[in-house]
Amino acid sequence: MILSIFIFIAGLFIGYVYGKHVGLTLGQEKGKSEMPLLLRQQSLEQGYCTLCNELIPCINQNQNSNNRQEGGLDGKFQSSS
Amino acid sequence: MWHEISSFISTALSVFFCAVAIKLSDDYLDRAIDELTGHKNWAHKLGNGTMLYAMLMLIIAAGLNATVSLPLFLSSYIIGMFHDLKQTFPSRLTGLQESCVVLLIGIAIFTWQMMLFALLYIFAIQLIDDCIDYKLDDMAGYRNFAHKLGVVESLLLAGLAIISAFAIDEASFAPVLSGTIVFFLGMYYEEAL
Repeated sequence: MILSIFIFIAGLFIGYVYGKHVGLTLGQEKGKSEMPLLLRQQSLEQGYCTLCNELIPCINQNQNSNNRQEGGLDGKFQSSS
Repeated sequence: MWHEISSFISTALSVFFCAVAIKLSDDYLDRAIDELTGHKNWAHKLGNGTMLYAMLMLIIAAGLNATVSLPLFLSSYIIGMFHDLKQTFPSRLTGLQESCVVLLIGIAIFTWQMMLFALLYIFAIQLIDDCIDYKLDDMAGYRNFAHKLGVVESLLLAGLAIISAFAIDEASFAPVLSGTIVFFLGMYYEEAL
């Protein structure tokens, strides 16, 4: 009886610790992959870098290139139509 | 029948007095930290006599049942050292070395079964107490077992330790648990007043 209770709690303990460890690792990986995109999205929306509050040329360049790309696509669509 | 009842009550009372001795010693050592956090403990009420009262309580506990109460006190000393394992104490020994010496003395005087029972039991009580004091210790900036291991992990480990202690000494477990429950009820009643 005591042994079975001990094994049950030991199983719960090992399962909880392993599950928590796996969850933390997965969460960190997900966070690492999502964070750059989130920061980039916020920076683009605000027009300046979220981290250093400065207008970064690369963001503006990216914005310009994105706008150009969109314009280009529009142009293509316009020409095709 | 009467012998069993008196033995149960004397062991429970012995654990109660031992718990009071541990509480008073702990309060005396933590009086400076508790003063900073604004928490009034027994050392502030009893002043310099706190350690003397602790000794008195331990003598009463030892008189009632030395084979149960003294291993519990030694175990609480060892468990209390877990947070300062690398710190050097006035004996010129580190916390880990002092713990080992106290453990060996405990095994030599009492049996290793009794010391193991006491160590597991005190470890379980410490883990549960740390979970209860989680927020209070967090405010004081002190990292206890619940902070280091996690609350659920601490409670599950406490459960494992309690069951192991029960398996080692079934006869002593019930009176020891009764004495501990009476002590904690008294402590929370005193805090509620």
